[in-house]
Amino acid sequence: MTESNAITRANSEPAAGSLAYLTDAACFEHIWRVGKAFAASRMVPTHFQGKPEDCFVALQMAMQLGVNPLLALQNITVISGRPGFNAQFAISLANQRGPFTGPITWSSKGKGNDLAVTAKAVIAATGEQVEVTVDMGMAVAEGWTRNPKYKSIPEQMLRYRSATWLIRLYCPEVLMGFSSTEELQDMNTVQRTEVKDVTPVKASTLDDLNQQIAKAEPPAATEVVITQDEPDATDADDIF
Amino acid sequence: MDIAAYHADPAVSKSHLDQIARSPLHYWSRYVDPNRELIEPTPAMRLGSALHCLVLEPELFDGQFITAPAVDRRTKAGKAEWDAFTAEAGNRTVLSVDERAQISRMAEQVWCHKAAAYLLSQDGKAEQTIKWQDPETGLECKCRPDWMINSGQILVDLKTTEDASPAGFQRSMASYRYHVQAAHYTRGVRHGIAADAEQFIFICVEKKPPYAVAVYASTQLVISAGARIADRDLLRLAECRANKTWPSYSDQIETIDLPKWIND
Repeated sequence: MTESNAITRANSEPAAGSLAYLTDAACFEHIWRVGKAFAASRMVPTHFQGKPEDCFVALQMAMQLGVNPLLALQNITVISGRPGFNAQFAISLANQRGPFTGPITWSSKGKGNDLAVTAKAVIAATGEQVEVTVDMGMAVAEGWTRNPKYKSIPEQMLRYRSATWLIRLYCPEVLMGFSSTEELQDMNTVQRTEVKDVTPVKASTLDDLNQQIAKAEPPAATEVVITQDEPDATDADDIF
Repeated sequence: MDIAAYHADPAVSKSHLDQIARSPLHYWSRYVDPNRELIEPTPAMRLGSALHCLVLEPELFDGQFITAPAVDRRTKAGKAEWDAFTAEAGNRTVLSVDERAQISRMAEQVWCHKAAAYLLSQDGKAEQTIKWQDPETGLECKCRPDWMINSGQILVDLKTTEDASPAGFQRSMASYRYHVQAAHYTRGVRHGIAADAEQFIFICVEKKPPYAVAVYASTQLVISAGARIADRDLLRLAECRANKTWPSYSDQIETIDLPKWIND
């Protein structure tokens, strides 16, 4: 594993240093400059391009977690003002730093609406096997299925959900309280659907309607689409 | 009422109006001819209904659509797999892997559009059949709004299109007579469920990447122009039914001019 993609702590005491920017002006300046450099780069995801403030915050998160800043930028998304990690990233962090022996594994059973996925791991200290099961019934009941990915890649979504749940239960310190992107999206879709009964549309004119739309939360999936639909660098138009 | 029952109901839909507008014979051949053949859905129609289901009634999707596996049916194993698939598919509509991916992308983009996502997140009902009697002609009419917010206050229609730009969608409105639909549906909720539709809104999603989405609200002019045409069509249909004559185009030589829009 090369240094650039290994998720290893850069040093053993990153947490102490990571708050220094609050009291040390030079430290703040420096991180701000690094943030600006990243924001100007085309190698960071589009939602960080031209946004030094967001890069600054993401760099804080990277320092807190002790991971390579570029890796953090690649894997942090912002949904409705809440930063989250891609589930994949969260899982790899837990696999490398969590209390488990070996990586998180999954088993699934059933199909369609009966699909259930179990994420499993063994706690190194006790040898206890721990698991979390998430199924489509739960996804429907919780309103997550409004996210079309539960139709297109249901098993993958349930794997992400069960694993992040497992991480949250057994090694919350790995994510330091941050959510996964997928959880945030699901919460956002749920909030959107729950809004239904609370604020009925009162729009006699189009202006009223547009005002309400302007006030509404941005759609859940926007950020994901940006990160996932980015063309590969092999696209000729992007290189030249 | 499910979609098949809706189509089988002889009440006058917007598609009925389209046919009678073309010619009474076209209407007769599609809806009256006792020997008429059932219309096979075209790939575009299949795509449209799959997208509607995925966006508006995702919980019904797996029961109605299934994605075909990519197998080589010339090999024995491939054929066996295909036969197993056909058995599993039952009477569900089969989508190709590409079509399935395409509608997922389209649905995703609809949910990514701020206004579209807002409208679809409101308290609403999908695919409700509404029936009423046209007060002028006495004809039994029907419509089925894609998405009805606040019991008919706002009607939302999802359209797939090649070009969702304002000019592009204007052309679609003219070709597919969406103004007639807006008027017919607005009347439907008025007479059928005593609701006053204040907006008729189109969510337009392009069929090709980047699957751009635009949302348009019909102006009053659209509705009133559509209503005039709907009236004319309904009247013509009522006459044809009364006289039991279903003429086609003129049987004389007619002159033909350039269309109005090319005159300047």
